Amino acid sequence: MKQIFICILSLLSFLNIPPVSAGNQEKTRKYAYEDTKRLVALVQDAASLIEKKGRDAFKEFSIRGSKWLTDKHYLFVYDAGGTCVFHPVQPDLMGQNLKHFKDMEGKAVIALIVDVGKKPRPDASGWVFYLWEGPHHTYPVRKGSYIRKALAPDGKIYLVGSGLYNMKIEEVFIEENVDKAAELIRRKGKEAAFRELRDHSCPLNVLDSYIEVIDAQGNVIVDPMYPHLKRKRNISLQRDYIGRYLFTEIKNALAHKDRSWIFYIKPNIKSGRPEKHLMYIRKLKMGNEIFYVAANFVPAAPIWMK
Amino acid sequence: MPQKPKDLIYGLDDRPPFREILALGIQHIFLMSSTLVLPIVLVTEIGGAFEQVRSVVALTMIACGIGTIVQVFRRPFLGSGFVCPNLCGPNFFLASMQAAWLGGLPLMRGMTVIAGLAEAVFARFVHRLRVLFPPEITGLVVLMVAEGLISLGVSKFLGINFEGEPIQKTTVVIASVTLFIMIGVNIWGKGKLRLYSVLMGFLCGYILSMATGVIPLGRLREALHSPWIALPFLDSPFDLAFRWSLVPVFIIVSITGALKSFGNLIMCEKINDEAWNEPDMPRISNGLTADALCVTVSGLLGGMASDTSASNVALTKASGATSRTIAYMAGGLFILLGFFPKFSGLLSVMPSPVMGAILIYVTSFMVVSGIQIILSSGVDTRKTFVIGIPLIFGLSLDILPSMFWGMPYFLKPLFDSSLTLSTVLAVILHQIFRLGESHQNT
Repeated sequence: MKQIFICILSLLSFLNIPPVSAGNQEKTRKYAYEDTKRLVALVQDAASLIEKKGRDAFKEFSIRGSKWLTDKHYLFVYDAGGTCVFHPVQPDLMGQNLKHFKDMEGKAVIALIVDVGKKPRPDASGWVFYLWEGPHHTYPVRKGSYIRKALAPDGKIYLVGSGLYNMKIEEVFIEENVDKAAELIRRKGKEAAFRELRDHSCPLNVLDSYIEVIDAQGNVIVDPMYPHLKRKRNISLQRDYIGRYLFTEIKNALAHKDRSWIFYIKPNIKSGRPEKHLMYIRKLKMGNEIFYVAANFVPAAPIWMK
Repeated sequence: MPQKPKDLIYGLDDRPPFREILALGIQHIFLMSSTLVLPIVLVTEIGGAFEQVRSVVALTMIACGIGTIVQVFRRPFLGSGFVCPNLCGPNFFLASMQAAWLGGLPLMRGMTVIAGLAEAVFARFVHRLRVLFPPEITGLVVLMVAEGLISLGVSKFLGINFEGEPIQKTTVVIASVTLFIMIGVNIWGKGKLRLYSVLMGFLCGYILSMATGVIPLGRLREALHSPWIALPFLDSPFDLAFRWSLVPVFIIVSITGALKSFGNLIMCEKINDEAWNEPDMPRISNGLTADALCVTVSGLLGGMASDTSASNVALTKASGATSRTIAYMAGGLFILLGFFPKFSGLLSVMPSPVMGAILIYVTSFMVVSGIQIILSSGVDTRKTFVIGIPLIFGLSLDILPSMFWGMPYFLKPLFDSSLTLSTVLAVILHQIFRLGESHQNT
């Protein structure tokens, strides 16, 4: 019995390791997945360290095996002008101004990172989604990076970030970006906004989820996967796996409100098993016209359900 | 006449003191609550309101309580007389979800009733299938039932909910402590302390989870805001719908559930009989009828389909208490709690490490029971292949499911569960390898 108590006490001594520090819990509450939460917490902690130590923090960020640099993740830092000031995995990038760098889809990745620094709040943050070749990849894969603005003691602004390759899409990403797309259409008018949204490199596209715009007749008039088609397909007669009309579901959900989540079922492309898709939609009234701005994705299934 | 094993503190017909029955009953209902998360997920998935979630959870609890009590009966055609409680059945989850997507809760209820009736038919014929289920195959069924709990148990133990997430150190530590306590009390606990090994582990796990914030606070808050007493019924009780296209899916899931219950009931027989050597098929048939009744009642009331609980059966072995009075207490408490949303809500908020530890603890008993039953049959060359081949293909389905995605459509139901695949393969191989057996014997 004595040995058991010793074992239990030794195990309990590990309990002072919180997965996400209390200070970061507020920032991570809106995310569903633990890996997203940890990434946000890591970047928040890194920003706090820069705010305290300035560039000296980079030395700590480069210690392999520390919480900042592991086989799974690393931090990168850019200055407010888009020059890479810290990158432990691709040190050749350091010192280069990459503001005009674009990924394979034409997304101006570093310019989007720098945009976070232009936000007024001293602790501004944001997500950037792009294609990047990670340390273990031989070709670029989809990556989502969390960026946080940090004001160093010498007054310089740094943008510190870290990302996850092939990350799971969070509902909050979709909601924020569809709302931004709706705002864009309202602000710039349909022609200019649609042109921007049709572009594959539009920053509002999250990983494999694209912004679509559907008109009141069910015509998909914005579809970044087919940017040159102005009216690719009509979804008014499109049914899901269980026979429900998708467009009717959209119209019903938005009959008395201007935003809603709906779900529809499609067979999984590989296994053929039915799979739930989630769609977030905003209804926009512009003059006499009604537009539905939407994005959809497949939420991750619990690991034990596989 | 069954021989009461020496390691049982209270056998089937023993009557422990009331306070011990109460404590042991509570221990069982903690375990029966471990899958209450399923109706919560299901109703939330189809966009159900919190009231609906609460109602479906409560109705599932009431049906499971009824099933637990009916199972312990020994009436003609009904009840095995064993402590083999019911819980919300994980194997019904995907089919129920499909029905709920398709036609809401009324269709889920209607199809659950169909599943119950299908199991009732299977139960009436199962005693004629004795030739198909010799001890080595029943042992394999028990083993595969245990295997089906591994992914849930280990993922909860490590605190991983979704692919790619890191292992949660705090969860692992709490789960290890919980598991150590349960094992420690079971191995070194003196006298009747062993009866409460799981309860002690539970309490310790809950306290540590609350102290470290591992318990899901959102759901805990929801539970605490629930009323003390409420009638659980939905606005439209007995509102049932039906769809032909779902019948095959529900029949297959129902038969899989029946096979699982078959394994559980065999384990009950073995736990309660030192001299067990083969299944008592009429008794198992009555046990399956009780299970079928529970599934049907669940559908009629408006809960999610239930299933006999392998973990609770293993708990009877671990605690050394199989007295029928415990099942009456556990079933009665579960029904009662269905009318007390605050308590049922709190029960359904089981912390991940506690669930992980308990599942690993009880699965260990089931794995060993399965192996013991297989070996008790005296393994020869024929049996080696009757067990080995189905085990290999059954496990391969769980390890690499994508290998089987290209199966012809009509064979797909067979490859939906490793339990179904390995059982069907074992039954077929057993019949094939018996060819020439009588000739050799003469």
